[in-house]
Amino acid sequence: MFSSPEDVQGRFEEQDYLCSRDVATVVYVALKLEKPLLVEGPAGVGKTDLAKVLAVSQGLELIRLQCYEGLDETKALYEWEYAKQLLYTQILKEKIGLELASCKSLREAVERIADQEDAFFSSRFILPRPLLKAIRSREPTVLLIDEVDKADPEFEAFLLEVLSDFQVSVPEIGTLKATHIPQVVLTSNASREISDGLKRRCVHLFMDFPDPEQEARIVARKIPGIGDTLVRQIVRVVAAIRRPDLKKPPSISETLDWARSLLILNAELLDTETLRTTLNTLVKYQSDIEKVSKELPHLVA
Amino acid sequence: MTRSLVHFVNLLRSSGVKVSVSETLDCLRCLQYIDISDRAQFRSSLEATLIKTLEDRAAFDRLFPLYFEGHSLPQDLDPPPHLASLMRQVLEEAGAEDFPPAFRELAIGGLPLAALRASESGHGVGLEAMTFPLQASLCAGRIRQRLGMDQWPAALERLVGLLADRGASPSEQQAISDLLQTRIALLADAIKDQVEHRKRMRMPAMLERSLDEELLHKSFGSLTQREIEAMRQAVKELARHIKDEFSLRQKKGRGGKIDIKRTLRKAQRYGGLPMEIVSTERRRSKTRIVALCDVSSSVWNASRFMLNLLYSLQNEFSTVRSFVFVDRVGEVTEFFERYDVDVAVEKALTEAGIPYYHYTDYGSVFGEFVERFFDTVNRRTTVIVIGDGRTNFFYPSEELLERIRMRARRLVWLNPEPRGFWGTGDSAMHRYRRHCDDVRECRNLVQLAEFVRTLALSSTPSRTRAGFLGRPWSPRV
Repeated sequence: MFSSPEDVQGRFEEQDYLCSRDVATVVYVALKLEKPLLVEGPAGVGKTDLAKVLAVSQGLELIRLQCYEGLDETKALYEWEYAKQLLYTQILKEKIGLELASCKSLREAVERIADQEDAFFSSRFILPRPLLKAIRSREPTVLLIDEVDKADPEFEAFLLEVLSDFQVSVPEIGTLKATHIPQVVLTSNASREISDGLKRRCVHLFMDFPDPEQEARIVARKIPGIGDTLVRQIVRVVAAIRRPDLKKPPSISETLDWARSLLILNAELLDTETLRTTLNTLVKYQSDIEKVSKELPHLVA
Repeated sequence: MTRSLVHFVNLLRSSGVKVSVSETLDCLRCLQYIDISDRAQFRSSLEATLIKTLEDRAAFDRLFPLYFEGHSLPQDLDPPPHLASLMRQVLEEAGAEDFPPAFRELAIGGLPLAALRASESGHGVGLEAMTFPLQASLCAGRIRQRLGMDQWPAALERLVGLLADRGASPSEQQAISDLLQTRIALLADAIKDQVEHRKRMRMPAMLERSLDEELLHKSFGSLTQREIEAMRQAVKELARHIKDEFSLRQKKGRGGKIDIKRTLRKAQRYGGLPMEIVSTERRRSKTRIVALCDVSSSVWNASRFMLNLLYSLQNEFSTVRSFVFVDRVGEVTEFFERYDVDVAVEKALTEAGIPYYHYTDYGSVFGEFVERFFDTVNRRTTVIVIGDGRTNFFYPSEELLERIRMRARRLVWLNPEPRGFWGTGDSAMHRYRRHCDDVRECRNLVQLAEFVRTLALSSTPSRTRAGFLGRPWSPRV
């Protein structure tokens, strides 16, 4: 457990995840309040990594649920392993036959089976999916629900229910309560408005692109062996390219990729030609590349 | 601190940020865990627990400094330690009537603590209910009264006297006296500042609320530049709501007949038992849109917002092709493919390659459209014309409009003029409306949004060779 926002920042840094004080404060607040943390922001800014580093820095397991359109309860919570049940039934056919041999009527046979129903509807035959795994875990865990804005509104309503009480009712077995409340992190690209109910339940963090100094520190940390001047140039160019009229402004992961590719190319300094040839690591859409190419000379100067 | 926070939350609410009670409680709880005096931490914590959307964030960025940083205190001076402890002794031993509690705080705790106390006492004096500027000085007076500040000079003298009794030297007495007098003066200033800021804060909160509602109902023709900017935001929000609503409808609509093939295939996993039933997805074809927008000066605001909204909803329609006209027609679809919505709309209104300053001539516009772009219209297309129908007494060519209607699935006309004016002067609306499936008045954003909404939500009944179930019939199972 962390003792203060500075502690959060420090332990994240040990794992090579550099974040601002604001981010560390919000993470700390969410943990202390035992509320889920909703991280919203553009793609590639470190949202998923935040959850990963949160788990690693506390030595906890990370359970990940990736959301997509059409994700429903069975795939998120639990499923009955029908195939296994059928298999067992087949194998135990003889035994079942013996059990029912003494029955005189059909109704009695059904009653007898119903009594033993829990043999086939026990937790043995439940296939736990991420949410149930997190709830039933014997150790505390970090639950990452990634890209929750890609899921349907119905799924959000269901999620709301699970996140409020951290218990699941399986009709055949009963209510399964959480032994440890997991630390929940939800990420969203803000492509769609998340329902109010879910938002209010969470502590909210807007993760935006870092400012140049922070970005320079991140690049220097993640890519050892890169020269200072090059880092500063890189960061300056990226900051200039990040404009709101681009379809996809470059994020930190793109900056890092670009820096790595420059290192591989043994570029000590940045010039127009290098920028032109490596531009597609940074900017992914053709229309964006065209826009940026027009201003290439100014960027490097 | 609780009351300050609750008050701040109320301020956010009156600026349109919907903060719930549970969020306020979360906020209060989290303040226990952080260092309140650290301004950055305090702000982050508030933002994380109270603010959940981008628009709210803008309001927060504006109101937080106004409320919490309104009065910045100058550096406080501390008395030398032995004097401070002497002062503390004297004050503790003295009776309560000799020295009012606020005075004690000022002397012992220093300026920040006293200022906090002052801001707390600001609550009961009617700061929240201020409506006239004059009340500001009245409120300041009330705060001072609450703190008992008029008795402080006398208290100060008594304190100095007591210190002298305890053996403080004249210079030390003078130092204490100066220090406390400075503090009192600073506090009085801080109180005045705070009241002023509260007054200023209340003004924008009231202004902004009225702006939003009015804006949506304001007629397009009468918008100022600033309001146009504000409208853009409103359009974005509207588009998002419509989009969400649309996707929800789509989900509910899914449900066709049982798809035997796929069900059986899935049943293989379970030894032939159909555990999962798969239904055919009812194909919902999206509407194609062709929009013809009049961009002469009289109408161009309506066109602008129509294009804005249509393009924000691009995904809900199968294709949107848009044209602008005055007396010639120019296609602007490309601008929307290449540029961001706002930029594209601006370009469409200035760079479409048509003469913008001619007189509107609907007749030749329809003629040119039929000649050059007729193939964009087919039986799945909805054609939308936005204009006031004022054709400057040129030949109206209503028969061409009829041709367009025959070819399209629907022809809709949106007119930004009030209904009463249709047909007056050079308006040919009375002729054109006969050939349209739907003619609507579209004078403000609310009407426009409603129209686009019904457009997006209406599904296409297939007019192709349909079997009696309404699906294109195919002989295979």
